[in-house]
Amino acid sequence: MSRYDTLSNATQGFFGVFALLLMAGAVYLLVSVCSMRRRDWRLAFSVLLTAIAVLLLQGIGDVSNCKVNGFTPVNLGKMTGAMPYGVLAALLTLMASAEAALLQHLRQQRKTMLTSMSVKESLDALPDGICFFHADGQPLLVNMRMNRISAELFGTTLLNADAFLQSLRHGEEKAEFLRTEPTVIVRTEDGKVWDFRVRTLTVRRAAVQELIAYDVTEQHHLGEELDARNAALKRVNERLRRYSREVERSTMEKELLTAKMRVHDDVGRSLLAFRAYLDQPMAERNRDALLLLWRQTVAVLRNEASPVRRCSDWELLSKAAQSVDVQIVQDGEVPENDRERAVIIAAVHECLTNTVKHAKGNKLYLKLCSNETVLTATLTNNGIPPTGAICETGGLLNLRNTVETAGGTMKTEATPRFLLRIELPKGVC
Amino acid sequence: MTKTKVMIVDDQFISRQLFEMIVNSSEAYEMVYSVESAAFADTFVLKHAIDLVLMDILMSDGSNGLDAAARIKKHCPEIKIIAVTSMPEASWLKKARAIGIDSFWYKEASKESILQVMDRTIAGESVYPDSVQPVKLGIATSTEFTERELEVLRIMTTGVSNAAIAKQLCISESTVKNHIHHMLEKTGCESRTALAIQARVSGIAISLEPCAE
Repeated sequence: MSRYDTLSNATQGFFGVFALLLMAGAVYLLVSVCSMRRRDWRLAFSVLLTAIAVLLLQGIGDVSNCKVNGFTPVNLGKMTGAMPYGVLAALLTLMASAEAALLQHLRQQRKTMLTSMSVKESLDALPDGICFFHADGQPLLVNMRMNRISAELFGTTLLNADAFLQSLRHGEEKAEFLRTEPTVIVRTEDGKVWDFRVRTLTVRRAAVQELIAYDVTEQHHLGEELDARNAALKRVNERLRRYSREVERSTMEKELLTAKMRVHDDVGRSLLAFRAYLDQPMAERNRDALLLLWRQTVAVLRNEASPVRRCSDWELLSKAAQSVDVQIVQDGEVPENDRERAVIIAAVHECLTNTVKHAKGNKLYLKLCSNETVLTATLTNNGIPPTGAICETGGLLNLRNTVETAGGTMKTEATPRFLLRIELPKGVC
Repeated sequence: MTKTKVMIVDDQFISRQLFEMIVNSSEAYEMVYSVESAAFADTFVLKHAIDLVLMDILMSDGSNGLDAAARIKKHCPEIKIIAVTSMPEASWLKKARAIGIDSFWYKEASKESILQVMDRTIAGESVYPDSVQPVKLGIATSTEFTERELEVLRIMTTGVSNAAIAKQLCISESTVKNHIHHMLEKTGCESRTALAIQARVSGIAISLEPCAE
C-alpha cells in the first residue's frame, strides 16, 4: 500500500481537514466533560482523544508543510509520511467513531443528571418563593417568585437577603403585615398571603441560609373563616351560659310554685278538717289536732309573705361553725373577688372540719393579708397539734388541687401546731 | 321513744318549710337543723348526732346535694340520707347509688310520700324509684338517648365548645359532632343551641359542674 506522503496534495488536504475536525470534536468533548464535572474515566478518555487528535493533526500538518516547501520531514512528520495511507485513514475513522460514542454517552448522561440550569428552571417553576444566601446576605440562588414578591413589597428584586428580612421584620412597607412573630406573614396587594421562614442548611460543611416564602393564601382564608366561626360559636355559647343560669332560676321558681300549690292543698285539707270537726258532735271534737294543723298552715303562709334574705357564703360558713361550737377568729378582710373568695372559703371549710374532727379545738384563726400581687391566708387552730407529718388525702388534697388550679400555692405545717398557708396571685384568678 | 334526728338541706324556703312541717308533725322525727345550702352541710353533722338528712340536689348557690352527701357519708357513714329533687336527670340516680345515698325521692313524681320514704329508710330499706319518668325532648323521649349522648348533652348545656366536650369525655371531636348530629335527628331540633336549651329546660341533662367561663 502507498505511503501517505506519496498521495496528491488534494488528498492530503482532505486528510488534514478531517484531522482538524476530529481535533475540534475532541476539544469540545473535553470541555463538555469538564462542565459536567465528571472527573472519572470520561475525562481521561477525552484527554486521550484530544492528545491523539493533536498528534495526528501535527503529523499531517508537518507532511503537507514539508512537501509544499521542499523540506525533508523529521520526527512526527517523518513517521506520519511513512505510514500507509490506509492505516492513517483507519486511525482517523477510529478516532471519529470514538468521539461519536463519547458524544452519545455524554448526551445520555445529560438527560439523567441535574445541571445548575435545570435546578434554576425547576425552582422558577415553584409556586413558592425561595432564596439561598450566605450569612452576609449575598444571594446564591433566587427564584422568579421570590424576586416578584420582593418587587411587589419593596420595588426591587432581591439583592440582599439580610436587608430584605430586616425590612420584612420591621413591616415598613405598604403591604399588610398580618404577623411578625414567630414568622412573618404578609398579604401583598394581589391578595396573596406569604409566610416567610428562614432556616440554616449545611452544604459541604458550609452554612447556607434558606429563605422560603410559602403561599398560605388558602390556609389564611380558611383560618379567617374558622376564627369567624369560633367567634360566632363563642357568642352562642355565652348566650347558652346565660340561658343556663336563667333556667336554673326558672327551675327554682317552678319548684317554688309546686311548693305553693302544696301549701294551697294543705290549706284545703285544713278547711276540710275544720268542716269535719264542725260536723262532729261537740264531745268528740279534737280541738288540739285541728289547732296544730292550722298553726302549721298559718306559719307557712306567714313566712312566705315576708321576704327571706339569702345568706352570703361567709354567713353560711359562720352558721356551720357555730353549729359545731367553733369560733372563727378573723384577722383581715375576706376578698371580694369571686374566685379568690371561693378558694379562701374552701380552705376555711376544710380547716373547720379538721379542727372539729382531729384537733378537737373550738377556735379557728384566719389571717388574711395581701399586697398588690399576692393574697396570703394563714389558718391555725387552738386544738391538739398533729402527732406526725400531715398526710394530704381527701379534703386537703382536694383543697390543694383547688388552690393550684387557681394558680396559687399551699403549704402545711404540723409543728408546733397545725398551720395551713395559701398564697394566691391577685388578678390572675 | 327516741325521736329520729333530722337535718333538712334545701335552698328553697317554701320547700324547707314543707319538710319542716312534715317532720315536726310526726312524732317519730325531730328537726335539728334546716339549712339553705349544701356547701357546708357536712360540717353540721360533725358534732351533733344526726340520724337522717333530707338533701335537695340542685342548689342555686352552685353547691350540690350529691357532693355534700358524699362528704357526709365519708365523715359519718351511719347517717341515713334521702336525696330529693324535682329534676328527671337520669345520671343522678346512678351517682346517688354510687355515693351510698340510702334513698331517692322525686318531689313531684313519686307515688310514696316523703314521710313513708323516711320511715322505710330509717327501717333499713333503700328506697329508689325504678326508673326516671320519661320526659319529652322535641319529638323524642328521654329514653331514646344513649348514656354517651346524655353525657355529651349534659356538658353541652354548660356552653362549652365541641373540643372541650371531647377533652372532658376523652373522645375525639368528630365523635362529639356525631353524637350531637344523632341527637338533632332524634329530637328534630334545628340547632345545637336549641337542643341544649330544651335539654336544660326539661331537666334531663343538668351539669352539676360550674359553668365554663
